Amino acid sequence: MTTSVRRFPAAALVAFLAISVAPLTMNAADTSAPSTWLPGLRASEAVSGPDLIGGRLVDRVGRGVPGRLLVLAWPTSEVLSGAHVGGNVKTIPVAKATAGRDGHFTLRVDPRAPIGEFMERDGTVNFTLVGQFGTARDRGTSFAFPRRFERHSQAESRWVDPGWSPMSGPPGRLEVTLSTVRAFEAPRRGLSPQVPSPDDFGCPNFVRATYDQVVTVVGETYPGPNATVKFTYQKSSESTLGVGASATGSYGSFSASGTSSRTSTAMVDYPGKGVKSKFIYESTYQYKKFEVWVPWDFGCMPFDYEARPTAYQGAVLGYNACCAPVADTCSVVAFPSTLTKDSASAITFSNGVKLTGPIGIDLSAKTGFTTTTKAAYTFIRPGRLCGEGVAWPDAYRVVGK
Amino acid sequence: MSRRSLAVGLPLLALAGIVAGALTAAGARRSDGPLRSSSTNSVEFAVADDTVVSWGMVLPRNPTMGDIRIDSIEPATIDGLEVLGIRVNQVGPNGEGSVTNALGFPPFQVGTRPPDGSILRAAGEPPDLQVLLGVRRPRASSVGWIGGLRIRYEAGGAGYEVVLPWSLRILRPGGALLTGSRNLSSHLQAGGDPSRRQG
Repeated sequence: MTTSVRRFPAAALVAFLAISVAPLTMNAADTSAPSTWLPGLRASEAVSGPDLIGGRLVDRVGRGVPGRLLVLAWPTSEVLSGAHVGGNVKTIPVAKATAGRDGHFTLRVDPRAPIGEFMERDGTVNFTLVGQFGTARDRGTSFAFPRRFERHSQAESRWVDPGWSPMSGPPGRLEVTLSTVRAFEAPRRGLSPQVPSPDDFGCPNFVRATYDQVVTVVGETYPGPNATVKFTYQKSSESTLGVGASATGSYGSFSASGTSSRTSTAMVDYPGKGVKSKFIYESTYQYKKFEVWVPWDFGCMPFDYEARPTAYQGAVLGYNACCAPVADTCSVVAFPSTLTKDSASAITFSNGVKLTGPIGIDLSAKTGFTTTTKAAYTFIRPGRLCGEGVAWPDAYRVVGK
Repeated sequence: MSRRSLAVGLPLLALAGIVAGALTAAGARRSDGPLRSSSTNSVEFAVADDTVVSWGMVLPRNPTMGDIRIDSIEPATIDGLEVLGIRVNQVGPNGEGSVTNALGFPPFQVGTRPPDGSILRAAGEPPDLQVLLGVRRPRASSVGWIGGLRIRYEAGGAGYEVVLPWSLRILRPGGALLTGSRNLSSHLQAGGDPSRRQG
């Protein structure tokens, strides 16, 4: 905060005045329909339709905190990957709600929001949930998440995880606990006189850096002494990759803050791996660092920095793993066979996105084994295929023995 | 009403009731039950003509807080294979008794029982349950396959049906193992309904 204020002292003064008068406006808004807070966007309480996200705003000891919630939609991969450093892309507010004293909230997309322009071809939209709280709503926290819009029937639609399929059971509602512990103070650098009304245009998000060929883990195989394996990562493979957030955007200041969905656009045919191999498969994505502005009562405000994936770049990489996971729920394979496993919700690699170099931390990577992403274990002699905690047909991680 | 008309009418009424009940029960099976597989899996191998083999798959664990009772298990689609029997067996904590494939049916030293009435214990409590199919590829068919296992079951007082997306493909020795070329996932992707091809 101090750095920014020193840089923009006049703007900071304006911001301070804005915060000082804000509580009066906010308190009035709490007791009736919010009038100054994005009046062009209908509150979720007044909107029908499927839930986008629900949850609770809590303090550091888990108590509910009253506040306001806002969901911003990010542009498509095509738009994000085409933006250059110094340029900007717009996010638009698509849902807002108020959390009471217990902190609970539910958000639904305002049907009038032009969300279709922000949808990938498969219906996926990448969102950022912003929580505003404090006596003057002068503090904020955020969480990035992807959801895919699915029309279940003519009359029924729903938001699902991008990797969800009917075979994976009924889709669950996305619930988050949004903690005020990792909160930013806002506004930090004051108002910008050029910022358009958020109700009409959304807010700009400035590209501050581009990180190409960020190495990302996409899978792992451990065929054991009796089998070989072929891992394939193909077009339409869905990856849910970590998003990093920071108040200052400087190296080392980022922390993990949700995920974003990206779809690969080319087939990656990894070389087959022999017996006793232990291999981690990697590919590459483009990340960009955005200076994120969000709609506040008095216009668009600089809020935080986000490092998020913007495009799939498709390198074929990988490395030998030190050791296989413990998988001891085994099934006998009595003669030469090929066992193919796909459509699983793959495991999350907690440090799978290698961003330590650019931003100071690695982020998570979760690649779903969709119907076109699979691992085929070919047993050349009798052996066993073992799952981690559960037999191989339902296991997320398997090991050949 | 005469005694004669009662003697004829009551059995007819009872029969109609049984038929209606059976039809209602058959129609009442829901597809949105709790038993699901997180994976589409296929098993492929080659054996000599007319060899009897077992194909085993451990069923998904029961995610509910109540027991699930299996009513029946059958292949959803079958082509070029003869099913000689369908049994289930209990699997130990480290997979003891779990057999993906084996010569003969049932597999040697594996105690089995009919699937009807088997229980998947609440909350994934052990033991796991494995379904075992005894199959034979006749000489007349160079490739045989099973696409999907249809399971009818009861959970929480309601009847459900699910087709687990698991497939088996058995080739004549020397045939190429073409993984994924004809598995259930590609069939489902193409919009096909395996049940229509029930042979």
